[in-house]
Amino acid sequence: MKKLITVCALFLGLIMLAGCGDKYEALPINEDTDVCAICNMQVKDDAFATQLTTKDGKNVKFDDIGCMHKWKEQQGTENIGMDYVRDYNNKEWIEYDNATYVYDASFRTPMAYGIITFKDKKSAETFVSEQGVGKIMNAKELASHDWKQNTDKMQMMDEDGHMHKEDQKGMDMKSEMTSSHK
Amino acid sequence: MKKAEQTLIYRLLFIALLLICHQVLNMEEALASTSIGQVNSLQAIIDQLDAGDAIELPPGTYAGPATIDKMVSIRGNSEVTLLNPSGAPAISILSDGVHLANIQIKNNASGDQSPAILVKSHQVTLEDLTIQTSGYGIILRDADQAILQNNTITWFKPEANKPKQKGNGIDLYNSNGTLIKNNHITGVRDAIYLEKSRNARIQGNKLSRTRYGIHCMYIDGSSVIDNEGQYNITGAMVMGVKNVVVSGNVFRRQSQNVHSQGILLYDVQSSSINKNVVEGNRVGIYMEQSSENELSNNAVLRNFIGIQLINSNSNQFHGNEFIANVIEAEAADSQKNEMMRNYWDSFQGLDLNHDGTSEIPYAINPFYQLLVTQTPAYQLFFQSPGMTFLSDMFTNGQEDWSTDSSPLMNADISHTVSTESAKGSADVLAIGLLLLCTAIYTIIYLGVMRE
Amino acid sequence: MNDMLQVARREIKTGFRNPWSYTFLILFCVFSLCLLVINSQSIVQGYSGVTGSMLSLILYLLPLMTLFLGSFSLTAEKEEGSWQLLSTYPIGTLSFIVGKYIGLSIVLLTIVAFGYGLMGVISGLVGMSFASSTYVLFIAFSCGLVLLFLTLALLIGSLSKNRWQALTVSVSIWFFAVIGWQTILISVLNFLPYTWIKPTLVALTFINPAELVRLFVVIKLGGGSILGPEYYQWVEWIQRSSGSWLFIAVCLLWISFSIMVVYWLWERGRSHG
Repeated sequence: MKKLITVCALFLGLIMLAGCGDKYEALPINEDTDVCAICNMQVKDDAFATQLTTKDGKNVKFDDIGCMHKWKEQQGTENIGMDYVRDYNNKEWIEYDNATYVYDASFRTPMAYGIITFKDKKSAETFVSEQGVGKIMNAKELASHDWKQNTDKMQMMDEDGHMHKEDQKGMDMKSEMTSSHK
Repeated sequence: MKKAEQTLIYRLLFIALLLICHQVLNMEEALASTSIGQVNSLQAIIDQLDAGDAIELPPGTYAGPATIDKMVSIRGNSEVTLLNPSGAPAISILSDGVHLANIQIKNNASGDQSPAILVKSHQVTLEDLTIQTSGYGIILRDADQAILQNNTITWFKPEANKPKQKGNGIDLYNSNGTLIKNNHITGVRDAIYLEKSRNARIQGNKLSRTRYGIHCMYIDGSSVIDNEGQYNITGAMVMGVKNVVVSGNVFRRQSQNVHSQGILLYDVQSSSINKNVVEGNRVGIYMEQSSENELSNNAVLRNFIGIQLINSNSNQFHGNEFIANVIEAEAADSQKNEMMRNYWDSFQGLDLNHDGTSEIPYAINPFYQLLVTQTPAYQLFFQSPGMTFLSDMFTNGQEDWSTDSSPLMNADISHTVSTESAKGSADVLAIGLLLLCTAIYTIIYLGVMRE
Repeated sequence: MNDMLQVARREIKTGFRNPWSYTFLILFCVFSLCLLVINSQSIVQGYSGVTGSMLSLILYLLPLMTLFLGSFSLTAEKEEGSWQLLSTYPIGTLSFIVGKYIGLSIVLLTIVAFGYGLMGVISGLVGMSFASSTYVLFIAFSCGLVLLFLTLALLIGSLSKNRWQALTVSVSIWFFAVIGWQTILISVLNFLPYTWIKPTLVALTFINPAELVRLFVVIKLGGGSILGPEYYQWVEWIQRSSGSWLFIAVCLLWISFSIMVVYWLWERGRSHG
């Protein structure tokens, strides 16, 4: 029994040492095991993935920033240690508060929330000027966003949907291309 | 004299052999040169057609990419092969009413996401196509009323690439009223992916070794009927839909991945899920944030977890059979469902008035589910004797558990008989006999008999 | 070496003359036949409700049987004074302990073999669909349980003064390892910070032979994915053939370590007279 206790104590000591690293860190995405905590879809290792770490060290991943927002609605934000989003261009992890957000209903994201994130305002502006659409927001402005999922084409284009559909198509092929080249 | 004759014969034989070899080599060369020489440009053929024409391609090898921008019907036969090493789609269809049939397409541009066929127009029919792709199979964009049937779509390099580099087999976006029938799809990312495409009918397809067999997002009013899937990560992933019918599908052996399911329902409203068979999956039916659905007459067999309900209320469950699952049901925050007349094989009911249902209700214990949601590490305790013991002791708030008010006493035999068959009864007999003899020998010679 | 074999032979002989052994033999046979009857309608293959409940039932019975037979054998040596007699001869304590272990494991494995043999023969004759890989895995599972719990039994037998004490300790160890384990762990681990829970749990699992063997078999039956993403790498590793070797190595380490502890206890007892 004594031995058992010694072993346990030793082990706990080891974990303690291991645990004293950096407090919060964005973890890499493992496509084999990571699914979105909200919608259960596989989290792809792409620019739409987000994650947060709670204060007790639990890491939660999402496939779309909209799902992360939903999680925050359900669980509250008090217990969040750090939350991360990814830069659209180079998939670098950035802190939620420091990111720039671009929204348009025509942007295709995994759960159709239509929000794309950038590490700085400049790259966001470049993207918007390339696309011709998009509303730029910072984290504070994003808090008042309505988080509507663009699931229903009837909502956004009424009878005369053709113009809009063309935009969408251009966008979606483009995003496919960009993601395939990375 | 005899010897000379023999040598002569040998020589002759040798020369004959040489000649044959030469002939064969020549023939191969000839074949190679003709097949190279005969690669026709499909685009050139299409350019000569007028709208309304129907042609049958002569056997041979053709080269893509090609764009079809007029209403034509192109039919091949089993010897028509279209090669497309370019980065563009092998065939792009831009005109309404195009009909394409019986062509083998090899879309093998390396490291490219381009589809074998891209459809951007209405009323297109694609049938009996055999597609090997290293990108997507068939992509439909803003293409209504398409018919895709009897096609075979496979991944070009089996097992070579991880799913993240793969494309989907059939990929729909903004395309309504599509019929997807009797296709065979293996090895791609999602076999059939539908987004924002209403009133689709997905019927009789066979899907295996993909990420999600059928992945539906926002496809109100569609039906998923009589499909079969196995060895996918998830058989049918149904998300964000209303008024959908999921019926008569069979999903087996989705158990490899830590998130595998037979059928996943997330944010599904007012839909009917009936007569499906889910067998040997990690989770048979997983349901989250879904309401007003009817789940009836499903056979849930030999899964690790039969059915898992998270935050789903106002659904109706009746006539389902849960047989030989390690854990039949898990439920959390899902107490307001109507459960009646389901069969739970591990439940010992009591039928006092002989109406075929038990007077004792069957309640789903939420303890394990709550425990692992909080701390996933405890999944290590899945169905260990101690965990069962602990769950049984947990009776807090039993009135709030999901409860089947009148569980069935007996299962419908037709469902229980599985199509699976385990081999090896003879082996078991042989090993058993061997063990028994050894044991008896040991007891007698080492124990009972004196030296 | 010769001493060891002598001790083992003697142990087997007394083992098979011990009515307790036959009681357990009958119990185990009845029990495996009951399992057959219950599952006669189903397919026994892979990880399912059928094999899951078989696992649990075996986990209840086999460790208890092993702990009783093993610990009683050692306390009997003390109670009947044969150890006192033996220790006057020039026989090594290690030979004695290892001999005991080998002898007892042959007795126990024979009981297990008899039970499974009967089960296999009957299921073969009845024509049940029992996958041979699953059958073999269950035999391996039972043997692993017996061999690991036997070292615990020797430990209990060494520490107990008499049969009654051994009985009490055996039952409590059995309860702790098989039934109470999860309850105790959950209540204790909840005091730890979240990030410590998983590593502690993994480390503690190596200490409990019941959990160690159970998890190995669940994974080998193809049920590893139910353990969730936390243990994904472990599961992948164990599913390969190298996983079996690792498991055997861990078991051997376990056995040799506990035998050394038992040896040390008896050696101390011997020198203290």
